[in-house]
Amino acid sequence: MLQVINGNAIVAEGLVRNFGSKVAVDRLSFTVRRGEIYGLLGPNGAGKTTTVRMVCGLLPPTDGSVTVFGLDPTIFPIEVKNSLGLVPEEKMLYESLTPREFFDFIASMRNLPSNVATKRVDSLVKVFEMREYYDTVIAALSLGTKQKVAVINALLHEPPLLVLDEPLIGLDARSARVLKEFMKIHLEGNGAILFSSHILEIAESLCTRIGIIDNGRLVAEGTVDELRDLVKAHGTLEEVFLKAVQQDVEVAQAVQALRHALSEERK
Amino acid sequence: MNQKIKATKKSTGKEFLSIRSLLHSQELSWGDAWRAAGQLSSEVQFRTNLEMSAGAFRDSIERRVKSARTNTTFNKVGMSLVFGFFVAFYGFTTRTLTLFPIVSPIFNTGVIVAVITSLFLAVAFALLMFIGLMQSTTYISCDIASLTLQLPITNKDAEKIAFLGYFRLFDAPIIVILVGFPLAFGIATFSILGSFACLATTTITIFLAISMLLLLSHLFYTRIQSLGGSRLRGFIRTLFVLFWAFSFVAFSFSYQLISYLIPLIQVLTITANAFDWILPLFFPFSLGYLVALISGLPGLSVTSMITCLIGTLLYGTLAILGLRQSRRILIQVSQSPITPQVPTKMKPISVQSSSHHIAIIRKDLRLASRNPSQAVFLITPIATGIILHLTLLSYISLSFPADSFFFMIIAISPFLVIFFSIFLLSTETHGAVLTSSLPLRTRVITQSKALLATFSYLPIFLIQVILLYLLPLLSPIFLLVMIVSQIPLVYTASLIAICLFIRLLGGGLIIGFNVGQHLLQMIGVLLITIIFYALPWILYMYVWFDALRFEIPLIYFNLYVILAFWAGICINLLIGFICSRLLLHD
Repeated sequence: MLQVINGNAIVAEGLVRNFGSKVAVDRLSFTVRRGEIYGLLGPNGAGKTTTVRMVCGLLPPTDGSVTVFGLDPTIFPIEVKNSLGLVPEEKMLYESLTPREFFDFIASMRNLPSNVATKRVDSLVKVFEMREYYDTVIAALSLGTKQKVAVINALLHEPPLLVLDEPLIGLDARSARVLKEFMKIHLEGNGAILFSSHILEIAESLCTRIGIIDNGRLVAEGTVDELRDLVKAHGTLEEVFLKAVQQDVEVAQAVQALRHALSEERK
Repeated sequence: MNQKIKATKKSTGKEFLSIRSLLHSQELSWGDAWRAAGQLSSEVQFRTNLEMSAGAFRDSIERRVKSARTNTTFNKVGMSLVFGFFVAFYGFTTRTLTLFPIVSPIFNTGVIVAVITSLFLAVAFALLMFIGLMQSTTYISCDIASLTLQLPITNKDAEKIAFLGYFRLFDAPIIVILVGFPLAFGIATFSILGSFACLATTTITIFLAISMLLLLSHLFYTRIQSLGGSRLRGFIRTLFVLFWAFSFVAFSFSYQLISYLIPLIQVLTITANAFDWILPLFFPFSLGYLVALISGLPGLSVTSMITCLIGTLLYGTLAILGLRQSRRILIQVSQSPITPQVPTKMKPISVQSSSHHIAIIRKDLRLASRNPSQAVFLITPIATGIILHLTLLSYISLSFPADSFFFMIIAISPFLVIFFSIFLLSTETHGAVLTSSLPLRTRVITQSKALLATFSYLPIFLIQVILLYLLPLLSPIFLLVMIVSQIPLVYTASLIAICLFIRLLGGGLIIGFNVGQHLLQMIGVLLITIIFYALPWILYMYVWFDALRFEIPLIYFNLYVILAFWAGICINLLIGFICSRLLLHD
């Protein structure tokens, strides 16, 4: 296990990722400090998932650099992957395995001794209430239970950095609450979290700082209050967000058009 | 995910909406239902293909969508061509054997036509069953209800669409058989009545095959695939999947039957003559005899006529019952997703950690044990090995020198193992993303896959050792050394093939891939690998011819060439070791 030294958890500088002629991430720079939850927000197709994948070493950047606890994932992939736990947006599970078989595999890959892994899995399975599904093939599980498997997979090796891409999707209220509390406890241990979500209310209540990206670029960054000042918007994070990605006027126009169309239909 | 859903919806969204606009509160007409069912089956096939390319996560979603669409079309055209080939061959065989009594001049046309028709109906039945398993299972498991229930239609119409949608999965091959068989029969025998009889029997065969397919895939998804937990359940599941995969492989070799067609028809005709009081009672002979009977072809005994009528009645009833059962399953599918059986007995939670290699091999074996399409990759080399050795035995009985044939088989049999080693990468679908996120070097994964491929070679190795003991061979020790040498050679060649493929497609990082999408790259990689595999053999041949120039005792001669061969293997091992470091990203 990587010994976490003082410093930043993630430092991204001028990150670029192209898919053919399409620029998914464009000179993106941000820092995630230890002891904070950094929210990465953006509209659909803004480049959040691509950024997450580059941070985790799943995709090499076309240009720029990213380091996790000072290590470049393209040079030190093993060390970086040992230091983080990823809950991806697109569930990446072996659907033909049962959770029991799946955790056997994960524990083996992460070199966790059987007794340690058993203890951790046992407590996490209890916390997320999925004991009765432990021997059911993952393909047959509900979306929420699959999400629980993905979350347990990310937490199993107690990593200092959690990268959570839409982690609350599908979770019931109880499990969502447990995960949110877990995130707070994780920070107490000087851990760090990169949190990507579309649910702005949750991001507002959980995140220490927020980075808003649009078309692969960072358009605003700071605490919620700092963002309000920056984009000169008041009210909720949703309003700040829409203003930051310059969709506030667009949304107002769309709502107006919709209202008009519906009133025409009623006539 | 959103992008994926968007892309998937894009393929059918417009069509569904246009169908939706056609619908009012009245009952859906069969024409509209047929069109809607077409969109439904296309969606299922598209989803299956998109799912299969999930491992290629480094590709853009647009590329994956495009390849999924191409594969859907490719599969349909491919299936139609296979069935078209069999139909044409059926017509040709019937025409030839009714015109020229090459089977035997003493046999009458009626029996020969009954036998040929039965044989080809059996082929159509088996082809539909084996080709359709995966699509059929996907249809059951992919939540059709989410598509049908969103339409503004009644439950009855939803059932109709689900029912037709299932048939439309196989519409192209079904049309080819339904039109092709009677047409081919009509052209071959000039019997209009016979053509109609052929149409009826083909319909019964299709209904039986489809019903059986649906029943088995339903059973497979709800009872077999979902079985986790106990070793006994795992054993049952593995047996089922292995049986299916083995049958599929064995059936793939039925193309070889074409060369044995005449002797096979001869044997069947003799059997039909000897047991004409009982044989027409069995499927598909009842149907074959019925076609011959209605065509008015001579030579059928009264007993066989009566028996075939009873048999046809029986299978016709079975087909109707099968259809009713299929309808029941499809109604269930159209109303809500089918939930697989969940094991009720809860066992204590324990995690069994093991070494990286063992864990990967165990995981791949578990995945294969739940998926016939993946089990095929492990079974094919073994089945091929067995078939090759059986062929060898038949040649030996014809007094060919056993040593040289044995030697040839030793050289040839690992090819398929190496070929299928690349396919083991396709077990990583969604899992490819997961594997990439784990602290694991790509070379550990490639080594594990190569090891698994080598394990699938071991049954062939055992067969060869047993044959070595049983056959009267001149140089058993020499051959034993050659057999043993294949194990490291298969391992390194498989390793090289996998590493090359990963380099080509994933830039040296682990990938999952879709077989249909990357067939050309696979062939390219295999050509390079075969050259690599041949290196020790080339060295062996060179030394062998060189040693012939000297008059040395046989034992030294053999020692000399074997040493050269093993030197070649050592060179291969070294190249394999270097390549796995150079080609892979980490």
